Amino acid sequence: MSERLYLIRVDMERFLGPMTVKEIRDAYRRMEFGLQDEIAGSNRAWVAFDDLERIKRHYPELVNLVKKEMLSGWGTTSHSSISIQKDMKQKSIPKRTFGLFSKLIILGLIAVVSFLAVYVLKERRWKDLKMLLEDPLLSKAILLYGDEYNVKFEAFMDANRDEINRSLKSRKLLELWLPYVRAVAFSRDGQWSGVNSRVLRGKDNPFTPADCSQDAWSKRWQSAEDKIEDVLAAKLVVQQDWARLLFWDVEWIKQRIFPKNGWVFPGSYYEACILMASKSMKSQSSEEQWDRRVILSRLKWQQNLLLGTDSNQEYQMSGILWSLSCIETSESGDDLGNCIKSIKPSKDWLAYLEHRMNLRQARLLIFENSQLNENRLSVLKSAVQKILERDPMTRFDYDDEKELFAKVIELDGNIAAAVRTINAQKKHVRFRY
Amino acid sequence: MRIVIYGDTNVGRVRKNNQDSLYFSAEQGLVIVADGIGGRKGGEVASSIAVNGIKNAFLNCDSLRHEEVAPFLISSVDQINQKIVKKGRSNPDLEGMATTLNCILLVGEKAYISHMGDSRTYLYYRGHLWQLTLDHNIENYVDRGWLPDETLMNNSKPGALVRALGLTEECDVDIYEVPLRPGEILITCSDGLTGMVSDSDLLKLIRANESKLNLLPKLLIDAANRNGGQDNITVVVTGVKRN
Repeated sequence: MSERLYLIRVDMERFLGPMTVKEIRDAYRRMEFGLQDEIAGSNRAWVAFDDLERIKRHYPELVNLVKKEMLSGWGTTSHSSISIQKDMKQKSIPKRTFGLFSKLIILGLIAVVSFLAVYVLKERRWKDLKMLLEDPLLSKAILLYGDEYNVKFEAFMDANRDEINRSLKSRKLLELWLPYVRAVAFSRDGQWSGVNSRVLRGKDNPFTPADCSQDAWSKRWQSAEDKIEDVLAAKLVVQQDWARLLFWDVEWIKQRIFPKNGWVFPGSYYEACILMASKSMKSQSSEEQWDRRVILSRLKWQQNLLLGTDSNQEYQMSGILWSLSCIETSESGDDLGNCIKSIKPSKDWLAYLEHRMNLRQARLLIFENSQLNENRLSVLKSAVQKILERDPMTRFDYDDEKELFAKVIELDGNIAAAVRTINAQKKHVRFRY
Repeated sequence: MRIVIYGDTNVGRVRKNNQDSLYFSAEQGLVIVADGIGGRKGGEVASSIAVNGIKNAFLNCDSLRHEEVAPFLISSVDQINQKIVKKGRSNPDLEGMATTLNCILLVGEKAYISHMGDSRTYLYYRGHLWQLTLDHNIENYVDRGWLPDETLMNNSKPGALVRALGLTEECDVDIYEVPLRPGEILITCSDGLTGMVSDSDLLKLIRANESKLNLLPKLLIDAANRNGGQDNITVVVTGVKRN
């Protein structure tokens, strides 16, 4: 029987091997792959190197290699030795100065430890404490970021890009670094050199564009050029990322909880995409292009609604985007009908707008009441029947909303109790009333 | 290095028509397998658009340098996808048609695999077998955390495809780069083979017949048919030989 061979999948894009254990060790030392990459034996499962539990289960023969050779290096720093010049060696530091110096060091250490303790307590991330202590660079990034994005933090991230990119090769460190890498990327053009756009997106947003960089949006807007007018006039339904984004339901996004440890700025990948789409549209549109102005207005509208900012701003919307924005902020069921009077939507668009109107109708009932009377309950029942489980345009899933509405109906219109029950059951949503 | 390619397709024992399409040429270093989905005619049409589309794009382009391969495959697949979507919408008989795609392009000493759906490419080397492509189905997406766990509970078909050509206007094709060495064999197939023959049986069959590559596609198809032949079966074998 020949020696066991393994294949390594790097970045989900290229393969190394087949190779023996010894060759794997050598390739790792040559930095040909990282801890986040995957390995498979013949007819065996693909497992990431840093998933030690699965490595133990599927590849016990590799545990030693992974633990001793690959994982042991993480978190330690190597310093290049500095030779002390002869005359420097001979100079003695006066005792008093040394005392002051050591006090400063101790004070600094106390500050860092206190900060980490506060961070860990605040974010309830005990398991990350070890990582933070082992990766001083990460601790410093968190310290510099503080409460909001700032220039010092950005400069620090830029100066340490290579080292950060090396840390990103460990899956656990990647999770800790990602919020800060995303902050820098989406404060600029939506890219971080050395990190794939899908990594920036994360795995929690399957129906969002794979790449939300400014470059990707520029290409999308260019390719959309001949379709925009027809979409705005509600003549054409286009299933492309640019059109989907314009129809994103901001209330749906606001009611989802995105892991705090994934996003410090922007608040979610949805927010990041809207921001980048808007930046890119601004950079390539001129004042004369009314359709571009309408799209920009819609993007601004979505941003403001998402962040709860600047409600008095003037928007230049028209066509279906005006109708949609009108539906999203209607104050009563009666107003909803007026939102589609100014357009002549195609049959497909009309069906779609009805779904959004019924959704708004149901939400309004929830927002404005804590208990529904019989009349309102029957309005809710009728609206809920017409809400689709998955939005055909944005692909947003309305199962959670439908469960909430069903709960309200089950509890005879007791909205407060229904919201409390659903919020307690589902940790990823936060419904309000 | 010298390349030999052999392939075959079979309707199976249950289906009335063959919705798989294939093309291969050792001279061009090109292998394409597509498994059509949908309707009476739709699947057949979708898979043949995919195979002909890639073939024509390749024949009409200049020789490709390594860095040009991925952009070429991405833009070709994107155009073909648009074509399938458009045709499906304009013809009621073809509505909802889609297709998987597994295409190998050999450039220098590397193979570039473009992949969408659940047709697969395996690598065989010295008695070992690896599945190189990841099936784009709900089960795998949930397993990798790309879809929430509830998706699996709410869906009666864990094997349902998440990605395939023709499903949506925008398509996201996987491109893999595989360095080649003499003795390696790439096996590209539709799920008519992998649904009927387990990976361990596949390995046994390949191991027993690695010196008779010209017979291997038929042997694998026969095995799938012996086990029920529930679907159309397509197999293409690419052998890397020393010069």
